[in-house]
Amino acid sequence: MIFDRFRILGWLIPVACCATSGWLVFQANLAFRNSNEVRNRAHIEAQQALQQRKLIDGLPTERRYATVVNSPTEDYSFATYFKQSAQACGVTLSNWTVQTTDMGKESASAKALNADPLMKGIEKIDTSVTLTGPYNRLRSLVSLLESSDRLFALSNLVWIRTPDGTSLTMSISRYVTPIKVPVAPVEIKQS
Amino acid sequence: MSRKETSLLGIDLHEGEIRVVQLKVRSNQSTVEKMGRASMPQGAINHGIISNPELVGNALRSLLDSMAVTATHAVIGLPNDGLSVRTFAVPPAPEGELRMIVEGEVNHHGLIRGVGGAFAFVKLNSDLQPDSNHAWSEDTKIWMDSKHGKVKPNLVTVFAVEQDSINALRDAMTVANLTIEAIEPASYSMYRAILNAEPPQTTFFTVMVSGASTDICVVDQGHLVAFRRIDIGARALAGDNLHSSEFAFAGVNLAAYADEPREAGTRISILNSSALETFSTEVHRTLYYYQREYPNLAMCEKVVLASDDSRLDMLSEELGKTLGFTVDTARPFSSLGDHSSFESSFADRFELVACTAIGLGLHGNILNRAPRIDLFASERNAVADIVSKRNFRGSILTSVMAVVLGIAGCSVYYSQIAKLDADAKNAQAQEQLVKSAIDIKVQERHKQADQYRAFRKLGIPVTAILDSIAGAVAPGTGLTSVNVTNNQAVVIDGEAVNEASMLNTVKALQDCPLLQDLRISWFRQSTNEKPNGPKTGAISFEFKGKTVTLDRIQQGEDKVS
Repeated sequence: MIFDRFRILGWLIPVACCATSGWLVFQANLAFRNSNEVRNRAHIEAQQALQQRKLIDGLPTERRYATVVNSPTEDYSFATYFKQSAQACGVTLSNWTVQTTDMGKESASAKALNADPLMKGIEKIDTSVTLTGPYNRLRSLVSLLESSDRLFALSNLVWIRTPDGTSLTMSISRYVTPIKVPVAPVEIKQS
Repeated sequence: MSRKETSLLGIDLHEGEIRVVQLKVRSNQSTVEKMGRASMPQGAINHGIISNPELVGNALRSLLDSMAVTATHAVIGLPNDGLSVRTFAVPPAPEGELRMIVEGEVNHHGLIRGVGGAFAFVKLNSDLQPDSNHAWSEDTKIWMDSKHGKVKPNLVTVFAVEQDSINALRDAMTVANLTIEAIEPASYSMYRAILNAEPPQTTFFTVMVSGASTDICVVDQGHLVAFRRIDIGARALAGDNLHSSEFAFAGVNLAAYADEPREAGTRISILNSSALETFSTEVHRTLYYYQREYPNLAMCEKVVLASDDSRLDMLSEELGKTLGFTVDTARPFSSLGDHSSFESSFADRFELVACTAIGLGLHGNILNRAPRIDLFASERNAVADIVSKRNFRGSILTSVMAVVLGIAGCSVYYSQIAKLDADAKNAQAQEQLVKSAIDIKVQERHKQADQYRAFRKLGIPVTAILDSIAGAVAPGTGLTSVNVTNNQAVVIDGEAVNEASMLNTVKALQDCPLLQDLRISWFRQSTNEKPNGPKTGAISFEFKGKTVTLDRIQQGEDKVS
């Protein structure tokens, strides 16, 4: 048999080229499948995240809350609410004293209460009230305050029986967050 | 066990007629399967070269069809007119390098004048060397050196042909729809047919008469020792000066002449006497020359004469008379298998002119005693080389296409992959955004809940305390004040009608889960009654304890957690 290098190379080169090309295309196909799978998985996870967000967005907001954003009408609103409640319960409001404590400041009372970082920067407004009236009505008013969606922390309770009925003195604490004022941009003048 | 059977056509394109023999080789024994002859068309061959290949091809095809030949491979005989023959002495060289050396000699002596062309050679028996400085190849220095015993040269007889002759044969075979197995000189094929018909180890001379020339071979114990051409042939001997193209035109029909029934003793010689005399002289001189040149040559046993012209059927007798010893006519069928299926008279007449065709047919038998030569080998190799290179170019093209397709496929894939990756990154970024928003929202909700719980710690459960204390007051006991300080300390003041009532109240208050560490701070019995004060004998008391913060009460219930 005659050794013909053109014949041998004529077979070897196309076979090698076809095999190499086929292998490269096969690898590219594998990479394409892998990328497609990654993309599909990413889309599925994105859809799941969107559904989770919809689910969370659909959840009802917390009914009970501890703080409200401070506003100029905060005291007025609370006083109106309390007065109306007392009136509804048949209780007489005989004393009303308001004291504000900034939980973020370094005051002694604030320091004691400000251990928890959740309270930092929140203003505490204490209102000392004295109420008179029958026990049952006083209880109704206190119960109304405690079952309110907004948290009113009651403390310093003084319950005295008087010949006219019952006198109840207590401190009502409510909490407000300060209004965030946007910071104006600072202009830097270069000399 | 299967035995290989092959059939091969031997085609002799004589200037006057076409002769075809189909030989079958079975178990290395050649047998005549078919044989036939037909006149060569007028104008088909001119000066020994096929001038009209289409005419030759069609005539050959017609003959093959009439013979019902099925073989497609043929060995073609090249007429002597278009062939150059020369014997060279070349330096000793390995077989693989001999062809290159001979090619140099062919080029040096200008045996091929045109572009292309082909040559083939046979190596003569080098054991016998001429013993004279009158050798026909003394022009080479190597020959002179050999005479002094310095070197032992190779003697080769070269057959060279112009490219036109090869092309014409190839075209004719294409028209006849045949595949060329080989192209051999007609005279060499004749020599093969004679050699195979003789017993091995025989020493003899062969005289092979063709149209324009006669070739004489010296065979020593079955080996070719010398090959010489003399320029007198059948046309001169037959007394006509017509050229091959004029045979049919002049009414000389070789086939008809050969088919004409002639009995022994009634034959009349048509040989030209002067040409015969010249021919005999030339042959005699040649035989004498070789006998003188080769003193070591074995005793010559006989002279065998062969001719491709049926009109020379009496030449052997005439030559024998002139030379003075017996000249045998070649009988090539004797070396072949049974051919009794052919009509005997046809076979006998055909055998006289069929040496060339049979020798060509024997080319396919590997046991034939004359080496094969092929003037078509270089052409075939060139064609094979062209085909091989064309195939190689096709392979390269295929490879390039495969690479291009591979690159294109990869490019398309990777562009798609890039798009998919970008899409996946977008989806992942969107997912991260959504998850961040979810986290922020969840953290907000958690912070709000935690903050609510934290602030509940700052208050006390007033309603629950009131209910607990009011519910714990035993009959005969009344409370005057309840004071709960900022640090959850509880101070309860009251009055009781007797100690038992007070103790019952203490017991009930101590059972209350909202009050812890409740103790009686003091109690005393009233001795004198005061306005708005306790009555005489009543017991005043004060209890102290601690309560819990609001966060200990579960939301919406008044239970201590």
